[in-house]
Amino acid sequence: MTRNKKLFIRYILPLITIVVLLVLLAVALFRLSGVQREMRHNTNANMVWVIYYAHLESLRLTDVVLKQALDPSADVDVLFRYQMLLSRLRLLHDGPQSRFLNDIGMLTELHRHTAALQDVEPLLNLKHLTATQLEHLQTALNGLSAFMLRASGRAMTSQWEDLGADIDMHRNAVLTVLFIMIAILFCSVFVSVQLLAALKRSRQNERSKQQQLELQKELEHERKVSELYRSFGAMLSHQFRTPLAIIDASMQRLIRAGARMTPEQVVSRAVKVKAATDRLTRLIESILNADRFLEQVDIHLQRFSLVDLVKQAIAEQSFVETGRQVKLTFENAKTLQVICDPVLVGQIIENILSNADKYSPPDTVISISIYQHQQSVCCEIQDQGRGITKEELPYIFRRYFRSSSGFDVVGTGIGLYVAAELAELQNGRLTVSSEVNIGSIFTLCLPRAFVE
Amino acid sequence: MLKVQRFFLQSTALVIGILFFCSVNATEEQAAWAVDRVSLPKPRGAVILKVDGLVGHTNIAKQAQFDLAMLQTLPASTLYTSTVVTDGVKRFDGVLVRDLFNFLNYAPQSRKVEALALNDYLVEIPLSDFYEYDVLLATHMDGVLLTSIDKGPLWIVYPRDSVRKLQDIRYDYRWVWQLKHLHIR
Repeated sequence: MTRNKKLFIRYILPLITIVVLLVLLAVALFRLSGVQREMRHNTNANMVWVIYYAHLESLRLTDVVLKQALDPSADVDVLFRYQMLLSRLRLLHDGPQSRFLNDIGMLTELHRHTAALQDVEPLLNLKHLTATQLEHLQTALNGLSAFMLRASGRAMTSQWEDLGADIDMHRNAVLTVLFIMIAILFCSVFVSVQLLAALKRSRQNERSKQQQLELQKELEHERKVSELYRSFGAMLSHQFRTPLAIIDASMQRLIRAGARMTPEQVVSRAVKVKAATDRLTRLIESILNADRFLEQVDIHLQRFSLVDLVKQAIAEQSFVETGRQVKLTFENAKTLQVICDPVLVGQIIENILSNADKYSPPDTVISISIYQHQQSVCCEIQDQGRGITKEELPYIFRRYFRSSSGFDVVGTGIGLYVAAELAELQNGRLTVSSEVNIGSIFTLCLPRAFVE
Repeated sequence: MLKVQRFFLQSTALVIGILFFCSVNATEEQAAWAVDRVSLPKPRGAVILKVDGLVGHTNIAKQAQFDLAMLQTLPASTLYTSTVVTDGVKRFDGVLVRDLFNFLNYAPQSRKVEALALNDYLVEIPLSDFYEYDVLLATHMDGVLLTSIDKGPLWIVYPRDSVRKLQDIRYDYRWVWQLKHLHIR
């Protein structure tokens, strides 16, 4: 599927569908409101009923006229019946009714019959009618009756035609609305399907993103491992090569000039070899121990004064005897309490102190200050040694990493790694800042214990 | 089984009790209303309306008969509305049907009114109509007295324009014109 086609199906088509949906809804509403309006228009009187009553009154008048003609003493009220008929005719002449009669083409005829009736009105006042007079009256009344009969028939057909047209209109409107509803249904289904598809796609995207992230993590891990090996190799090649070279040189000497050597000279060579071997053994042991130690470390978190721990660590350092100056400053030993494992903190401090001693001239001072910083208590150890380059600083806590400036000093690159790991195990942090030829500052921060 | 019988007996007794109470109440009401029956003055002019049935006040033969003057002693009321048989808005003057009925002290149990026209057109109207809406017993249209050759002498007129519910054919047939007789029941 091309990009354009995808864009059309996923975005433009649903948008068009939604617009169509809205238009269809508007049309449906319009049609329905039309029907509703139409249904309110039922103001016209039932014309068949109105004409029927007029017809009835004309018949009733005819009836009483005939009754009186047969028996002048009969108890009938001709004038009252005439008035009733007049009222009916008047009703037919009123606005809506006369318009209706006009529409069905009966109005002129109504006028004619009404006029004919009014012509014979004086005859109604007479008690005794001649045969001719009676005939006149009857002709007028019969004409009216016949007219009413025709008018009611015409009214009925006309009103039924209108009703039929109305029903047609309503039926069409309802059908239209029905079709619109079906269209709306289809549109909704389409939009819903598109929505579900979009949801599925977004989920797939999410999943592929996650996979990518995991892949990246794995890659990172891989990179770290390979870096570890590289560091390890570099460390090995340097740290192991020196003692091996010593052993090699001593042995070559012994092979070539062993016979000419005095026993003392042989012993001196052997002692050198022994020392180199010891150094190698120590190196291997320290590498192996570090792993074993970190795996088996047992933490007992307690409340402790960081000042006391640091003091103890200083006292245990061998450099104290060689006259190295250590300056310790702090404000209030009582408030500088931390939650830690004292044994592990001792190890960290000792490690940093021994580094400071190793990498700085013996006549310089190591300054230690302990202070409170937010929710932590920190111990800052500053030396005036050779420092670490900016490029190497980020790697200083990596396993087997050895600073290029420290290659003349024996070490495995494990000490600081272990120290940082131990700090983290106690919810603390070990950080460093350094400047070449000025010195390094290692800072250990541990969670503060609140004094009750 | 015994429990069911007892329950049945109790509920029957309760129902009978309620019925008895209701009937006593009804007869008391009727009795109280009947006592109130008083005589109206007799009409002097032509009688244009006869009211009978459950009316408290009568003048002739258990009927309350009215001439125009008698009707006009009731509070006058005016209504502007269009009708289905005429064009435009018309002014109607007359009396409110409920004022007439209240004046006649009709029986409280009355529910319906039968209206009969000069041409013997007869419809039944719920009494509640006259209390829910200001239904007029019109004597004049546009200031002209209604006569029997028009739609008089009386025309029952609903406030069609001001109440939407009344713009319905089910109310149109209650507009009795040439009204001559009301029977309350």
